[in-house]
Amino acid sequence: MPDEITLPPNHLMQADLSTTILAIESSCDETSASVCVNGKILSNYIANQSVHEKYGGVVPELASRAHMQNIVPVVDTALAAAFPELNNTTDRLKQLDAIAFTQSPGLIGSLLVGTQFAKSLALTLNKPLIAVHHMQAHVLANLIGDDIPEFPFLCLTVSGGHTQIVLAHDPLNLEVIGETIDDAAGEAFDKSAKLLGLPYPGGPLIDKYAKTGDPLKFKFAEPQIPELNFSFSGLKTSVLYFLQKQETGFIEANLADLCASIQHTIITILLKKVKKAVQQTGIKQVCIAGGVSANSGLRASLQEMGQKHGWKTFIPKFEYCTDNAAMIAITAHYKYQAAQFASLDANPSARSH
Amino acid sequence: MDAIFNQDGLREVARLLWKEGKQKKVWAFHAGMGTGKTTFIHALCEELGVKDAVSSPTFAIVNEYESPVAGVIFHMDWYRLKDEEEAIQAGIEDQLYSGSLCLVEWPEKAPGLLPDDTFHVHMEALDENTRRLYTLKETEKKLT
Repeated sequence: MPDEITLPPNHLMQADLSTTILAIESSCDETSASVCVNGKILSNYIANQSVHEKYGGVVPELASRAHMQNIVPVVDTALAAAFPELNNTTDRLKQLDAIAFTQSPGLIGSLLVGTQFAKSLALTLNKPLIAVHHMQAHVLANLIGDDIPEFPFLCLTVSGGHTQIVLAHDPLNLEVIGETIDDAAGEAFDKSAKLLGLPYPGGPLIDKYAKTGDPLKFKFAEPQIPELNFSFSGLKTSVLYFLQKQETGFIEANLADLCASIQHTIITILLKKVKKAVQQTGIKQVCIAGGVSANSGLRASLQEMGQKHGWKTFIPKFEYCTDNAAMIAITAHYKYQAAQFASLDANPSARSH
Repeated sequence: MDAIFNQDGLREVARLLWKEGKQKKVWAFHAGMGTGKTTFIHALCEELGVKDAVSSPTFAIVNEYESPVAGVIFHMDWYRLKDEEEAIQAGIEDQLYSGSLCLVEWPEKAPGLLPDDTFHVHMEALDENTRRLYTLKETEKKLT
């Protein structure tokens, strides 16, 4: 990355003692801040739903304006939660050794808010700045806590905007070995739900209704995509045409079975490629990450598959699966140790690569 | 143009459409869910030599790619937007009027933001595997 610079070793010497990092995430809908010390998460605060409700609209927190409203209280809250023994923000800020932010990918207006805030803070406090890639952070969320995978491991990252299989060689060397060529898995859930007449985002509702349905009742198209890549747009079309052929009242009468069958198809598409990735790489430590890893069917199926094939599976706590700053903080922790700092003219980027 | 095609004809239609619309900076893709907007734009970007992963921008609102032929491409999806106001707050105007090629899915969510010389592309599904793609001439547009 052109923005990366290596600072003189005096910054590294602090790592020998204790490293405290403030991380800020504002790539899409959530504004979040987190503090970590030596890789241990002290706080992880995400702007809460009351702000969303006040703001209204179909897409909560979409606008960069909302991030601007949120960022100061969110950072302040995360600092207060991390250092309850200190009673003012100035003293809490003095604890920090570095400021990290999500640089890419994301909505540019949203990324800008976190970027500018982090840069201002780094400049004011005269501390190094660390730029973090959002998708790398999702994978490294698996390194938070005690039960963590060893390198190398595989990670299936599934969210509303992304579907990837990543081979993690070490914290700073991640290789995308498969990804979607059209819709993301979370989008397949949400848009199928929309076709069933469920409100957006309907992914969690599909999961809920699927619990009482028959996953094998209806058959939907499974894509034939080469290598480790995914495609979900065909499933959407398949569901659409299947529903068009039915009588009025069909969806209502078969909602649980429809949800269970759609969910089963999505999970099958995902796990087939995970299995293929394990076979290709010989790596038997498999993690999941991203918001869709909250799906109970996916969790159960991954664990079941892991037991069957002798894999060790890892699923981060839910708060570290959806967009959050703790995953930015843990990634920044590793970048700090490697002295991978960003310069103050670092710019955010919407691009993934 | 007015073309009827299946999966195998995607690249050819994408090539012809580029020939017709390459002077236009903002392309609006009108089609219902599951018609294949993203799949078509994927093929178009392949045609334009894009090496980035081209995928649905529904969640991110805007994806950015680099093409050796068309330069920076903004692939947008306004599906999650409520109206023009929300689109403006999301900051998409900057990209829409940047002079870079913008490929817009679900333009109906904020039609007022589209420039006058937008290239309107319509797609419809004739059956599960067959799609029609057509563009309207200036004179036809005035009548509609």
